[in-house]
Amino acid sequence: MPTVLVVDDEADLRTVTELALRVVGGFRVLLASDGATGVELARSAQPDLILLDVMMPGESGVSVLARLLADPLTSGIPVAFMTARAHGEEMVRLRALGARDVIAKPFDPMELADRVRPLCRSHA
Amino acid sequence: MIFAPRPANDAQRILEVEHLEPATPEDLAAYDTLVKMATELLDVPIAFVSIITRDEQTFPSIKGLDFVAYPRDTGFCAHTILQDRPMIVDDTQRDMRFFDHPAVTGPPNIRFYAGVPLLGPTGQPIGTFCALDSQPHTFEPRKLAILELLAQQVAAVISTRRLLAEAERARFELNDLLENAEDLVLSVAGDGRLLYVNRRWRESLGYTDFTQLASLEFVALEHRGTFATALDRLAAGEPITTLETVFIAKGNRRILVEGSISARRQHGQFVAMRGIFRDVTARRAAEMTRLAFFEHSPDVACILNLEDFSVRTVNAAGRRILAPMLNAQDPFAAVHPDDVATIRTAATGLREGKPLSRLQLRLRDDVEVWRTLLLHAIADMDNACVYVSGLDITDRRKVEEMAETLATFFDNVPALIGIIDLIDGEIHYVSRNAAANAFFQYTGDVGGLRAADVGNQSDDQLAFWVKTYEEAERTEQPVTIEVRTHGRWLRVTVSRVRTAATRRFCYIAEDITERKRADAERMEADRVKTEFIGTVSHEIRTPLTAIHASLRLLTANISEEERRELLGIAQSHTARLSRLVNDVLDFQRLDAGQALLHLKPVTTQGVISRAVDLVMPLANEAGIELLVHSSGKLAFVADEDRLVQVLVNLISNALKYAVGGTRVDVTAESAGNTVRFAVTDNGAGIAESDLARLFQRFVRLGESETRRSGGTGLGLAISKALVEQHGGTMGATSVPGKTTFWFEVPTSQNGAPTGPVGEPPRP
Repeated sequence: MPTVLVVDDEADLRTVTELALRVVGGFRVLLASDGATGVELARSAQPDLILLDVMMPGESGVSVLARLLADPLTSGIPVAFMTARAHGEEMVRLRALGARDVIAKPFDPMELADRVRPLCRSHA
Repeated sequence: MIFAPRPANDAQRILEVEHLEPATPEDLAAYDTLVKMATELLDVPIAFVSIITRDEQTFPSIKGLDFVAYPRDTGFCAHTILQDRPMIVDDTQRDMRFFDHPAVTGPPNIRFYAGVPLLGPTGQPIGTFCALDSQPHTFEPRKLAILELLAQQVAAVISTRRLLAEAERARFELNDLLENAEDLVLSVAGDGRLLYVNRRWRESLGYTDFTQLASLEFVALEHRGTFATALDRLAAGEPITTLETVFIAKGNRRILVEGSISARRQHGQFVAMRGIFRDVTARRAAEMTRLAFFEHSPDVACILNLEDFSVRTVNAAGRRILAPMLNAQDPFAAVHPDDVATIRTAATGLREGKPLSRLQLRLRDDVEVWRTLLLHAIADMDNACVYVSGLDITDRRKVEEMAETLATFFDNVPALIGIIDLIDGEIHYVSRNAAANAFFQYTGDVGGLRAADVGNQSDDQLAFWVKTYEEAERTEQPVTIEVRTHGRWLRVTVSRVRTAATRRFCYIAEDITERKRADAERMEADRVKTEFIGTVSHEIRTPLTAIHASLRLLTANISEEERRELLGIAQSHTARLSRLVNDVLDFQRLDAGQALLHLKPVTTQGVISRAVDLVMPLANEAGIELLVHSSGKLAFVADEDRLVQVLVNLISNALKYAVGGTRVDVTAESAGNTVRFAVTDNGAGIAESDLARLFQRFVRLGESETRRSGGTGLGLAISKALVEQHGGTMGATSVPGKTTFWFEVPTSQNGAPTGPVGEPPRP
């Protein structure tokens, strides 16, 4: 059962994302409300996927991704951005930074699990 | 011995003696013959011709004695010249005057003397002709007659010599005059052969022997007929006095002469033509040159009669340009109406001797175009004429007009225009317009100055311009650049002036500072708008995501507790979305100036109590003390609902964000013509750099907290806009432990928009 780390500053969005992944998709879900917590959790828990909100106060998602990629302990963990500013150019830009996927908000919680499953690191 | 007395007329006599022509050898031979005849015919051994000067008696011819000279006063002859008839002394020993004379008492022992006074050309006795003997004589009358005849012959020789000498002198004078005359003098026989020519003629024509010339050979072929006719007419007695002809000098050189001629007659018969000519070749050539210049000058030249300004002479240009004036019945008909009065005044002035200078006259030419003449004229009162010269400046005027037009344009366009020369890699100004001078803050003419000397541009700037000019030269294309100089933005185009003899360039520059600023402002506005839309989009999508997800998850296999939580999320975010939409609309309306204030008399107490009622639950929940300080009941005019909205916003912010805060103070007080509200907390404070940003849209400090509290990020921006719409101001100050947000509104709202409120006020 893959583990997904969700990093989002909006508590209610963390809640619905967690439900969508855990209840609908059967994932194990870890939650972080800011970048620093997210990075620490990623290092310690080694999740199979990180869903990272882009617009967060303090450290932005873009900066968090850079740190994850720079750290040998986390650089192998796939990251997908979640953003409410999901227009074409921005999606291309975010992908170019090293994200596996960019998921636009609002998303359909019933389909989120299926969307992220292929992104997960395999433990074969 | 008795001395002869000096005659009364001796002075004149001596004068005549001194003016005697010297005797020539021929004269002396004649005297000798006569002296010899006297000795033989009178039968005496001694005879002589003597001349008596002031003190001496000399002997041009003497026989029987070897005297050369003898003292005058002791001589016998001194007595002879006292009388006008011969003096005869038959025997000297019996004459009281001479018996004891040394020449009587001693050798040559003269006993007989017969002397005849010789009269000079003017009748004065100049000497004697004498016959002497050492024997006494009885001189018979026949011998006296012979002596007198011989004496007359001597006098004749002397007189003839004198006449010949005078004739020679006269001839010499005449010849001298003729030979040295500047004129060419000649005398021509009726057959055309030269009888005489003077030196000047000979030298001018170069013939060594004029007598060898054939008839009229010295006259140019085409003039011989005229010359021969003149000869014939003179011979026929016609009164011809002048002749112009051409002499042919040696080497076929032509000499143009003019002169006077006359006929020489002898006994009524024509003998020769006298001619005195002057060489006018050079003068005529000069005249021809002047005439050619006059005729072919591109300028108008003419000579008019002073009396009626009719034309005496006019050159080709004059005939062409003045044609409409010269040929017209009324000369002024062709003159431009505005110039008629001027030209009439000038004409009057000329008659009074005033010269006319630089008068501009417009004349209609034959194709009805106005030509402009620049006239100069001066009158010659003696010759009663006016010399007029005129320059056709029509084309020049056109060029001048064009130049003036361009100059006006040059100095009045707002663009900076300049012309420069590149000399030895340095910029030298030729000219620049007023706009350029004003821009570079230079007064005066820069023409001819080195840019480096004019100053106000650094060496680097000048080097930059030189490079730009050289680029235009190299590429043979105008070069356009935008540069910042002297605090302004210029769009400059430099071009090479190819027809110039120098490396000449011109530049034209436009001050685009304002346009640049407007562009920047527009771009900033676009950026802000895009940013705003992006932010609003994000702000809307976040609650939408929460609502959408929670509602969708209700159908999932979830617990009852989770179901309630999801419904709570959906409800909360629906409210948040609603507030956001309202705030955005509110703000947009305020930003566009479309929101209207509902003004009415209000009091500070009314505003504060309504606001405090609304936020008190929040204060209680947060455990923060809310204190109100109001100095009485200040009345003013405002939109109460809007002010309550502002105050609620400030108090809630203080309650929610003042980190570590324990109390919030709300004050209202009068400040001159304004009412000042302030909300102060005792939290940690806000950084100086964040204070100003606070009033911008969607700027939040502690973002996640804001959202949890339901803030939209537009509260302060809306509050500030509302205060400003009241004509007031809003601001904030902060130090650790004391942060104050305040606003002031005027107590009266004169001229402020009033009326129905577009949107119902919300707390």
